[in-house]
Amino acid sequence: MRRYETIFVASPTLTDEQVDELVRHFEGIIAEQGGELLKTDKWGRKKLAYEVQKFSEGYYTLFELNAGPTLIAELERRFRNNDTVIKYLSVRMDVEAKAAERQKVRYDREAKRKAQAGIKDRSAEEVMG
Amino acid sequence: MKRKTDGKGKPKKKKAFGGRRSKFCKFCVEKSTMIDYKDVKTLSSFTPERGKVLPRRTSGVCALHQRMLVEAIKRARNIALLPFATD
Repeated sequence: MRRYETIFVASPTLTDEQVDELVRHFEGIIAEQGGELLKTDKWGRKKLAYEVQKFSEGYYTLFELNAGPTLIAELERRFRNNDTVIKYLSVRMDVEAKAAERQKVRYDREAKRKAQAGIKDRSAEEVMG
Repeated sequence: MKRKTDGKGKPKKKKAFGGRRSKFCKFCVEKSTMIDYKDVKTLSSFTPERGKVLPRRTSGVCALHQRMLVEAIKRARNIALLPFATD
């Protein structure tokens, strides 16, 4: 299982109820395909940074889930085939988390080295002026 | 009263960067381990009006964090949180 973040934008022509229904529909698909949904975050109606299919607004919804690659492929296929979904994006978060962990180790090592050398870390305020 | 400039009091700082304030990497100060593509507020501060990515030589962001930042900006663009380019 991999950790994913999937975000999709629903068409602004829908009503709030229809969006809720759409979200439930996709939640159903995730459950049905053996995925583990960790969080659903509805951002609501937001302005888009650029026009998508002539729309300038959309309903953003974020899923955090544990899933296999086949489920993501299936989910994205459904997004594509669904006319009310105008944009979607999936990001693998387990890879991101690993990279973040490595970076944290690097920071810790650096802090330790500095502590031994007796160099004080400049405080945020000092740097920002 | 005579006042000698004996180096005490306010020490004169050597002017680096042509007298401008020295640059620093915002993310290093915060010890960021990852840059979130959903954090539009932070990202947009690195994409001036035109929507392009602010170069490192201007922002002072370190190489590592610039790579992370670019990745995040590209993701945000993909999902229409940030513009690709605006005139």
